[in-house]
Amino acid sequence: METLAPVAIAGIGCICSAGLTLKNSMGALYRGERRPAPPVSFSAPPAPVFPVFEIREDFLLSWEIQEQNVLRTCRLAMKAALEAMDDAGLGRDFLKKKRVGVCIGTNVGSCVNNEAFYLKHGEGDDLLAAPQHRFLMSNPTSVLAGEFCTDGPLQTVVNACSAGSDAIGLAAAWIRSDLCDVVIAGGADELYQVTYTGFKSLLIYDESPCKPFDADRKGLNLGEGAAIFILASERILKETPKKPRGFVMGYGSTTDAYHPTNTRPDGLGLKMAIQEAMATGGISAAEISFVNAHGTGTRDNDLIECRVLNEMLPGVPFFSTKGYTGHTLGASGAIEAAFTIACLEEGRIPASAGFRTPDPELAPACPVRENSGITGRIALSETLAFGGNNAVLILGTGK
Amino acid sequence: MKIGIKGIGVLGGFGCGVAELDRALARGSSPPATMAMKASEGILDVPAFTAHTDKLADFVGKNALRRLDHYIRMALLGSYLALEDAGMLTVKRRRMGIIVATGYGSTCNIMDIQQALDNDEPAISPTRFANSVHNAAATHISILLDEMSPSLSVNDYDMSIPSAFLSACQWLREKRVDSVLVGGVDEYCRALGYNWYRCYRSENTGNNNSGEVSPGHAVIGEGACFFVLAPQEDAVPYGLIKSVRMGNYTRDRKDAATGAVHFLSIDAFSEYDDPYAGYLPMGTRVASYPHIYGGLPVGMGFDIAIAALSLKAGKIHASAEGVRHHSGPLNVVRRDEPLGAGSICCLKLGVGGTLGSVQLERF
Repeated sequence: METLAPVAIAGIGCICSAGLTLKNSMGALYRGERRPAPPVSFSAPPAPVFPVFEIREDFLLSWEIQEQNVLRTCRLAMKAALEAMDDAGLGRDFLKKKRVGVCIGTNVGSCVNNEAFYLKHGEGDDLLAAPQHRFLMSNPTSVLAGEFCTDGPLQTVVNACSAGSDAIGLAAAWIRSDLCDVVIAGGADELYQVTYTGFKSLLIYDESPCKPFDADRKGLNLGEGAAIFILASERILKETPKKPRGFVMGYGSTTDAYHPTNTRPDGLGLKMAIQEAMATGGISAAEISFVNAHGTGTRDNDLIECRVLNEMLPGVPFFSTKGYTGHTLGASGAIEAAFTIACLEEGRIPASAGFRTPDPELAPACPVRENSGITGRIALSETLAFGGNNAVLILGTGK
Repeated sequence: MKIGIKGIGVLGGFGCGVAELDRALARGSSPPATMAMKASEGILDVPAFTAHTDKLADFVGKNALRRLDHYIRMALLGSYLALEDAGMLTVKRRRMGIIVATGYGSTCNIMDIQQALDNDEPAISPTRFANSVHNAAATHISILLDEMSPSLSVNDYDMSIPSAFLSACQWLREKRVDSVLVGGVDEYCRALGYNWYRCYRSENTGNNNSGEVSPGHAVIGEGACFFVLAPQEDAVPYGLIKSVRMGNYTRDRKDAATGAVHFLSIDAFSEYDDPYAGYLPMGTRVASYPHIYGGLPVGMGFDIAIAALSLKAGKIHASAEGVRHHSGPLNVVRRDEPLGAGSICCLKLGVGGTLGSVQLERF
């Protein structure tokens, strides 16, 4: 597999329960703050009510955007996109006459838009117009494309929980192949009654704040949020006012071909994805400063991730940020990629929230317990998903 | 790298497989089924082009199908038919990517779950939840084919097919994979049927079962259309992919493919003011085939299959009558005629001004 050119990250925006911006979120991570609580944005089924990582603060957008009949997922994506554009020092006019693509990963964002449409059917046509409009127009990719008046390729990636990572990896290829000058890429997802009830039905939802990699881990907590990256070509970078924040250096993705919801026990799919990401990035294991693990807090996910890390990246520091954000599903890969770049810039990684007691089954792998300094400028972020999708990004702030 | 179509697997209201699609095109029609549904107005009969998956038993054992719903079964059957058509069913495949496009997702499943929760049911079936995830179809294809190469599921409403083809070609050019199984699937559900009945059924017929639709709209369809794409050095009997383009036609684009016959994708729900006539040069030869497969977001996939068959046979089948409502000053193919030397461009001008096209040319 040949080494591919790195793709520049001109700007990043992020919103999650840890903070309404990337900077605020990182501050909360380093302070060890986590705010799991019972859901308020949807009516949870009867007790027991499990905690979620919900964004409770208002995140103000322009009046025009607020008034649109679109999903909360789209508003989260828009908030992160506006921050990313600002972070890159770009105005909307900059995108005019450029080849701009939009590639967004989501999970809930592509089915919850059907909810009103489904529930209102059979009740007379007066009720159909708004749900139908929302059904046709309300996915985060088309909303961002409409807002920024883009005229390039669109792709809504629905690879379940790896969708955000996949979207960034695929978008980088659009830049590399000269299909686009700029790509607005990332992931977005909102909390939703169906996923909440669904994960409970699978018996992998922790009734207490989640504890990734802990011996006493019982499952995940759901969260919501978005992270958006502005990826730009070398030619476009010369026109932008700021230096890039980092680079997408490698990307790998595979499928377990094993089970719809369980991770392949031998971790082969994840290993192959790591190998592809390292090969396309031209990166060796010795160059990886840290791993931002998927770390959901479910027994099997954490076990298999650690087996693979023990074999492929032994001794490399790793952590999970899901104890700070919850599992944001289609947004998680993008949010964790944003955290990864921010950690490389800061030269330190946060303590793996919720971890207290080492699990001998995972040994020698053990996540970082405290905020820790790191050296090096390259890190790996990995996501695993329903359907056996594995996606790995190698991100850097230089080589 | 030139990329071609090595195999096609289709199922829909016309039947199952390329031979039955070809026969429906020659006949000029497919028989719509009647889907009865209960609504506030009483029992409604909604015409729809529905697909049957009985033939899946030829490829997969009963046990493996036990927990799979209609949506997943359609995608699986389309995949197996495409691999069989490409001669790749029994050979050991190497590095085959899987890309599945859907406009609606697993509609029946998601709708049932949402309604159960709306009725305060405390739990949902784990299997039903797992099958409601949008990548469920791709998941089961990869499991049953034991294929660990990259897999991608995309959901861009009526741009889902060009979006999927864009990535398929990208993966082949990057040499991430040696071939790609790429396709689309969408299913009928009662909410879609009700919406169609209220909004687009012809008011003139007075006959719920007639299948007649208001001008410019199609009867709802469901089905799956899959393709095996491979580099040209491999055998590609159905022709080559000349280009895949996406964008927005309201941004003053003047880049319509010249000299190509255009197959216009017309769906069941979108409202347009004849954008095709504004985008395409006057006199462009156009055809549309919703009378064969119906209206569904991944309908362009069937257009690509029909285009591939047309390239192979060197002739274009007569267009549906309804296309005249979209065509304006365009030149509708009114009877079977020779293709000539040109290419075929499958074009969708969609919701929000989106544009997607997949252009095919001869091998």
